[in-house]
Amino acid sequence: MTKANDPADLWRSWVSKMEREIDSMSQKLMKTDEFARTTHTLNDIRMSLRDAVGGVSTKNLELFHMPSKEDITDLGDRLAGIERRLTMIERILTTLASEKSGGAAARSGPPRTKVPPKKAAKKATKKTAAKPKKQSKDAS
Amino acid sequence: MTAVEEKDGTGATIRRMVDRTIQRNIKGVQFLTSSPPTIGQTPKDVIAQRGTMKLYHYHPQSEEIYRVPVLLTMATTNRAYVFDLAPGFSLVEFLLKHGFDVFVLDWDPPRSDERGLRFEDYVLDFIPDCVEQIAEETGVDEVSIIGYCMGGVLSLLYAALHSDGPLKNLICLTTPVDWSEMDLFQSFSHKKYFDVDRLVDSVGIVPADMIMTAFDMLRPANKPTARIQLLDNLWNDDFVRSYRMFTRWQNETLPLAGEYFRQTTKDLLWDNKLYNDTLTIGGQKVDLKKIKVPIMHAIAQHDHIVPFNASKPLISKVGSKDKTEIVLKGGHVSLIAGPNAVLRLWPTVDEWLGERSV
Repeated sequence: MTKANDPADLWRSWVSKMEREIDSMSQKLMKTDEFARTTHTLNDIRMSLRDAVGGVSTKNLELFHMPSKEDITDLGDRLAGIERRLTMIERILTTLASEKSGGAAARSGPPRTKVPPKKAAKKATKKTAAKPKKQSKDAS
Repeated sequence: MTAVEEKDGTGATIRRMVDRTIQRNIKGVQFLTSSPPTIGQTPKDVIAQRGTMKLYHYHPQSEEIYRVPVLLTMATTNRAYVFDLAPGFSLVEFLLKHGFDVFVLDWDPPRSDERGLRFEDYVLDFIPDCVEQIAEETGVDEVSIIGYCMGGVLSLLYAALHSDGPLKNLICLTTPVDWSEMDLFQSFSHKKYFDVDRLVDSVGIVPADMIMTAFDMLRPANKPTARIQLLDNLWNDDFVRSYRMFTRWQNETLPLAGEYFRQTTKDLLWDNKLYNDTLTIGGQKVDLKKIKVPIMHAIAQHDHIVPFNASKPLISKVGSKDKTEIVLKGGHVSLIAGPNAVLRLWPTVDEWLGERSV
């Protein structure tokens, strides 16, 4: 069975071809002025609906003495403020601790002496090239 | 069909098809019942976290490391674990094994109190803060930055506004500069019809599903086709694992801070200020010619998110003498992750950055 008449391969190439065609067709469509106008009109409607529903929900929640989305968001913001202050305190403490220990603990780890393989190879060649010279000097 | 299969003839092909069909059924059940693959397994510490900003320091995996640490800056729309998908498919792991000291700047979804975040916050606060933390952590006062997509834009802005700062090298990966060439995004945010102020004032934080829909619309047939390909390749464990990792990453698209979205739309998409040299951040004019550090820009030939022409002008706009541009086969994501990246981008980054990190 050759690739040309293998049904699985035929199916795969058809899928790829369709993908390319659909993508290119829709991209052409999406670049049109009509597409932009229609999409944004629909978005505007969605936003208006969202605002209207949001307003009604807030009033209903108020009626039942329940917190609205804004109330929860406000609480979240306050918590975030506390978190920010804690982070600041934590940072100050870490800096103080690091200063006390001379920052040595933070700088432990492998030595920062690595050279790129090309440079390392060049260095090695230079060394080996220099060696015989030294030997001949010693010999003389 | 390989030469061996052709030689074996129709019998072998049919046997293979039957075998794969059985495997598909067995593995299909496994696919539905198993948990998603674990990602981001390379050992790391969170060394700074503030609101949406999170800075990781990965544990070195080499006996000696380059003097200059490297900071990977992720795009604000996605999670940074695309740099560290799985062992063998992780840019982070690759860099660590090649002797780099790796830091990653990741983003959490902005919280409601962060709806007012602007470029100023990212470029004049978050990135400088990370650079400072890295200097503290390593004791080295220089850093190289690798920025991906919008992370590349932020890195570029940082570099331009801190030209006498600690930046040693800059690598931009598929970074848009000429936003007038972002065809489809231009259409999605059509100045005549798109009321960005109304959207931002109304939602505060631009929802992730809206961002994801915009990405999906760039290639509408992509998702259904990917599902068909998955069905076809269910017998292949590597394919399924890779599919699950990438779809998980795509599905975890992040929401955006409203002001940041407004600024991106108005300053970059509408007025193309970065390309026209008219962008100001925190009262300072962004002049890309002020970037003098060695820079490399990797462009993906078939990038559907950042088209070739949108990223191409970057190298000509910066003032560096040591500048390199590479155009690699592949798309927006396959440039940095997956088998394509392992063979093409990663070794290039290693070689280019290694020489400049001593």
